[in-house]
Amino acid sequence: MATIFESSITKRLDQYLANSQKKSYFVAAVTLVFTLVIFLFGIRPAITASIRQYNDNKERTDVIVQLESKLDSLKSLTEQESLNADVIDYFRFLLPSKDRGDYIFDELTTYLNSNNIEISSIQWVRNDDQFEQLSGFLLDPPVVSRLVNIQGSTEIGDLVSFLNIIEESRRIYNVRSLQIFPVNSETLDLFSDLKPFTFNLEVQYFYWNDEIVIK
Amino acid sequence: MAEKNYIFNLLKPIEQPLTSWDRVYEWLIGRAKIIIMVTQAVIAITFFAKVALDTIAKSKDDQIEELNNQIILYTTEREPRYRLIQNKEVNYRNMWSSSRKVAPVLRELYSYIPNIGTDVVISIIGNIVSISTDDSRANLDSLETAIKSSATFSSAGASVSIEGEDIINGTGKGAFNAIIDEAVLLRGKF
Repeated sequence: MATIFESSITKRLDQYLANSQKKSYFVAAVTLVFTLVIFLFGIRPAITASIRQYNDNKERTDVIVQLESKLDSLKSLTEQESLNADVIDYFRFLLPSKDRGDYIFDELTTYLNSNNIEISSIQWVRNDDQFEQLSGFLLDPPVVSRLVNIQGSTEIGDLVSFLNIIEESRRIYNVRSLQIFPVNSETLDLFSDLKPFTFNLEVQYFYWNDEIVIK
Repeated sequence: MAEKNYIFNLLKPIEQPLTSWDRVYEWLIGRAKIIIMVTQAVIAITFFAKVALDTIAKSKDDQIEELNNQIILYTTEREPRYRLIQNKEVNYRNMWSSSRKVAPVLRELYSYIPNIGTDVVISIIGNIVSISTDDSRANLDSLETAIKSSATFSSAGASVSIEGEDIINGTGKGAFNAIIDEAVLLRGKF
């Protein structure tokens, strides 16, 4: 049965190829199909695999460049850290990791005394829940502010000089409010050593709470 | 008319006509052979290229691993410390530029008051300054003019009241308030 079928196909193919023009078309078509099959199942997968690998390598190169850059930055930062250890320590002193009210007290009393200001009181005011209203600006959560109220008596020039010092100080003091009152002239007459003005000053200082982590 | 001569060579073997399969065979060892050879060449070149690329990939993977190992040494301990310093520095600059300096404002205000010993109460709360004073009307007028014309202050308001002896003495009670210009009040850039 199969032989009859095969011979029938062969016979028909022979008849078809007897015509030279048809034969040319047939060969061209078969060659084209064969080339296509070879390309699709042989050449294309091989080239695609190589291109994919090439692109993967390019991505690897990018990753290497980024990692090298990061490593260089870290090495440079390490070098900078050791070179500028004093500056970093000073910066930690200016913006400490916890409330150093003792430093602030010492610093403020030194500045007040050096400007001949008589201190009546220095008080720490609780201001945790009014931070934004007090400072007038927003800060990241680890920054905590404390408010100090200073009352004393002074000459105007001395007070301006004191304010100048704390406002130029690398430790940031933010003057929140200041009220200056003249001392009654009769009282001044009675006590010759009295300063002519009293003042009420509210100053903010800041520290960095290490326990609060920025995400 | 030319007579056509036919020459018969009875010794020449008569070839059997080609079957379809013979033609396919001829095609395979003819044109298809070229295609197959080209394909083999391409696949061979690609194979060597792939081997080279795989080797490069392996070496790059090793390099990435080595770099990661080096970076881990820093990232576990040092990087968080550097980031903390960086964050602190950014906030410090922000605090510096946003915090206030009242000394220049105070200096300017007292430059407008001829007799500093007079009863002048000055109050600076946030960016608002208030002054109340008992002085001669000429000095009060001068203070009002100075505050209103100063670039440091804006939205200046003034009220002067004259009562009782003030009329005879030529004095008065003045109350002034104004908003301090931010460019003067804030420290600005670090």
